[in-house]
Amino acid sequence: MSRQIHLNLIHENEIISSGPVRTHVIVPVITLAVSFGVIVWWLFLGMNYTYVKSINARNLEIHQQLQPEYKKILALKAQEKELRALTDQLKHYKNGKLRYGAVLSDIPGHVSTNIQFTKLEVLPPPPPLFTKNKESAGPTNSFERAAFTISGLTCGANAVNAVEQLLSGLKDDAYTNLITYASIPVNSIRPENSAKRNGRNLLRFDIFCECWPRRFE
Amino acid sequence: MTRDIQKIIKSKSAGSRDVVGLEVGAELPQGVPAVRLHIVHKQVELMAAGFVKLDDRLPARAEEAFAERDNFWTLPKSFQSSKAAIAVTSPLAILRQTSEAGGKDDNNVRRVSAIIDRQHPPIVASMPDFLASWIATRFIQGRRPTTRSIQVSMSAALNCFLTGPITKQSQNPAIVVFCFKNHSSITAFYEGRLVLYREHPVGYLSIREAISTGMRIAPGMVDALMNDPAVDVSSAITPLLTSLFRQVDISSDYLARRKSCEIRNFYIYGIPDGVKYWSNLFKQVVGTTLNHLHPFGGIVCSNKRLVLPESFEKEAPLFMNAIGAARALLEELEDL
Repeated sequence: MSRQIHLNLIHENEIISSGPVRTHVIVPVITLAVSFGVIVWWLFLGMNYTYVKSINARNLEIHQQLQPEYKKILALKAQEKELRALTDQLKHYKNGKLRYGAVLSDIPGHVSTNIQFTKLEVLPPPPPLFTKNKESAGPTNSFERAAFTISGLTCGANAVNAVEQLLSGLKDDAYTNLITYASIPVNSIRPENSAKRNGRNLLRFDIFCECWPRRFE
Repeated sequence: MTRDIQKIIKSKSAGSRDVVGLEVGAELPQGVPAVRLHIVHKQVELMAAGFVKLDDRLPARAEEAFAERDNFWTLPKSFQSSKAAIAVTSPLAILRQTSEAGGKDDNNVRRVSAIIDRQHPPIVASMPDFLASWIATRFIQGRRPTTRSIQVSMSAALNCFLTGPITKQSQNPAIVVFCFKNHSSITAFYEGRLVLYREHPVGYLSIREAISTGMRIAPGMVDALMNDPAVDVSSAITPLLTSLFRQVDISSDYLARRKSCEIRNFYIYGIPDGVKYWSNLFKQVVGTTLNHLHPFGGIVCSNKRLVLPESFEKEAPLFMNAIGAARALLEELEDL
C-alpha cells in the first residue's frame, strides 16, 4: 500500500477520455447499427415469407382449378392406353395371321374317291393368361397355338387305307409350312351309327392337325 | 472473479500506467516542466523529461478564465501519454493543515482533504473552482493526454518524497524542506506519515533577489555566482536561510517533544543552485547535516534513446512538482 497523499481537485465529470473512439459515441452507434440490421433482416424475412405464402396460395388455387381437368386427362390417358393396346393387339393378330387357303387347296390331291369331308374346323385358341390382379387390355401371349380338325366319312373295303393315305399326305413336305403334326386320334375312326346310306357301311373319321403357333410380334 | 478479471485487464492495459506530469503556473523561462513516467513490473520508469512550450499563465479571475477558454494545450509527441497529472503553482492554490476537515466545496472554492490519523489535523488542498475547471479543460477530449489529476504544487512535492526511495526503504522520523519559487514548506514525517506541514516565505526566487540586491548584480548572473567557488554569497542569503532553518529547528523540537523521538534525518528538495550554502548554514543553525534529495530518485531510465535537456542535471530540482504529481497518480492507478 502506498502512502501518497493524492489531493486531487478534479471533479469526476471533468475526467474525459483521451481515446479517439469514445464509448458514449460508439456504443449508441453500434446499438443503432445492430438494431437497424436486425430490423432489415426481419423485414427481409417477412417479405420473403409473404411472397412464398402468396405463391403457395396461388399454386393451391391453380391446383384446385386443374384437379377435374387433370382427372379427365388421367382417364383419357388410361383410355388411350387401352385403345392403343387394342390396336396393337389387332396389329399383332394381323401379323400373326396364318395362310390356310393356299395349303388347303392342295388337299384334294390326297383325297381318295371314297372319302367325303364333312367338316373342317379350326379349333379355338386357348383362353388368354389373364392374371387376377392385373387385367391387360392387349394380348397376353406372344404366341398362340393353332390347330384344326378334318372330319369326314369314308366307306368301302379300303376305307381305313384311304384315311391313312390322307394322313400321310398331310405330313408331306408341301404342308410343313403350316402343319407341324398330324394324327388320327384314338377311336376317331368309327362307324357311322346315325344311318346307313344306300345300304353301305360308312365310317366316320377325324384327323387332328397341329399348326405352327401364331406369333403376335 | 470479476475483480480478478478487472485486475488482469488493468495490468494488461499499458495506457493505465502511463502518466505525464506537468507543473503549470511556475512561469519558468525554460518552459513548463514535464515528465512522462510509467510503471513496468512495479518499477517507475522515465520515458521523457524536459521543458515544453506551453502558455501556462493561469487566470487570476473567473472572467480571465472565460476569456481564455479556447487556449488549449498540446504536448510534444514524446509526452503524449493517456493521462496527465497537473501540479498547479499559483497564489490561489493553497495547502494547509487545518483543525477541521474541509473536504467540501463552498463559495466557489474546491477543497479536498486527507486525514492522516486521529492524532493529527487533516491536510487540506484548495483552489478556486474557475481555476480548477479551466485547467481540467485545457486538453481536448479524444487526444492525448487528458487531465486526470489536478494537485496544488505543494501537495505534488509531498508525493515526490512519499513515493521516493527514502520513504520506501525506512520510516524513520524525518524533516523535509521543499523549496519552491516564492516560499518553502517544512514538513515532518513520522512512521512514513505526514504529521506536520508549515510554510515559510523564503523561496529560491527570494534567495536570488537577496543575492542580486545585496551584491548589486544582475538577476541573470545570480546562478553563475552561486556556483562560482571564487565568490561567497553567504552574507547575502544568511538572514533568509537562518530564519527558515530556525523554523526547521522549531519544527524538529516540536516533533521530538510530541513523539518523544530524536530527529536525525533532514532532507531538502528543490534547490537548483548553491547547495553548499544551504548545507553549511543548516549545519550552523540546526547542528546536523542537511541531505539534498534528487527528485528523480527511485526512477529508472532504461530507454537509451531518451534525449534529456543539456542542463537537465542542473535543472532537475525544477521537475520536483511535475514528478510528484505524476507519481501520485501512478501510485493511485497501481493501487486500483
